[in-house]
Amino acid sequence: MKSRLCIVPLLLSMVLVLSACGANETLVLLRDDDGKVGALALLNQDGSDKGIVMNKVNQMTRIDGAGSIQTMTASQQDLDKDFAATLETLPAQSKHFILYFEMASTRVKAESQKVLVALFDEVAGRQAVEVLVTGHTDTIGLKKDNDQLAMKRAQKVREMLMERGLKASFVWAAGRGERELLIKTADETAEPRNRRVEIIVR
Amino acid sequence: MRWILAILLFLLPATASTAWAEIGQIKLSFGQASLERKGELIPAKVGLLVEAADVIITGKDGRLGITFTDDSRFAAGPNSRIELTTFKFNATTHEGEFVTKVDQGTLAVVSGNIAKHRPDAMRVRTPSSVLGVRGTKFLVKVAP
Repeated sequence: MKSRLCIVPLLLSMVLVLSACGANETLVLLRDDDGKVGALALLNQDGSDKGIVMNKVNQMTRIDGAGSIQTMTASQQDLDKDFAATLETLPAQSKHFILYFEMASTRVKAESQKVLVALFDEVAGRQAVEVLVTGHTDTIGLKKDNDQLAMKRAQKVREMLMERGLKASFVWAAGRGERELLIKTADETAEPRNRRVEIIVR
Repeated sequence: MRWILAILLFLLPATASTAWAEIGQIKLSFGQASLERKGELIPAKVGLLVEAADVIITGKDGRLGITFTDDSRFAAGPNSRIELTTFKFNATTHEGEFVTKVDQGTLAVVSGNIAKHRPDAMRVRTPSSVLGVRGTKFLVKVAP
């Protein structure tokens, strides 16, 4: 509706009315923290495709108040001018940790001690940190026993985090038993890499 | 008693994300920044839980960094008004929908599991367009 209203005055006096016709929009696609460049599709309000897909690094699309679309490459200057303060405010990416456990036990393996220290450091270094802890087992034993063991492993990690001052409401723990194997095996198979707790720190 | 509560918490997560009101959390907050929720302005302090339909409002020195339960991340710049229109996320299947409306200001986005699971499940509306997000990091500016 807005853009249609703009067309008539636009034909009469090109520049004057243009700025009054609505917002000026700038879109920029960036390389993400993993080095990948994704894509953005411009759709109409009803969800149908406008036929424009941004998929190049630093590709910048400008849409002026009259709805005309320009595509270019953003310079560092463009980014700094409009987005430096905003980009600085992006929270850190979540981090993923895996701790391995002794067979049929809630004891963290010696080889995982280094990861445990890194986990504690990561948690300590974040503001308003959330931690999601998920326990797993291998396929030895009954499913129901493994559900319990997985939960106990997760609970163990949760306790260790809380001992270091993390609030309970920011540590979520769950047990997945043998439902989510890291290494796919048959039932009743000993697999050390499946005896683990996975932790997401956000 | 506390022990039983802890166990209950363990059992929740499969359904949690849909049952709980919170969709994310404020991790960084500078200057004048608030959330408008059901017509009320709430100061956007670090640690505040974010809910669907909240509107991010920042003043001329305001900035806000938010993480969402699907691992998406937002940064809102100064003089912004950004509505978190729809957020649905199933933590088990990663199915969901995330719609944001940028009325004015600047927004930096890193998309998460909702966009990864299905292209265009995450959308950002601007006054002129709708962006279908197919991954991952991008910027939006709407100047009046």
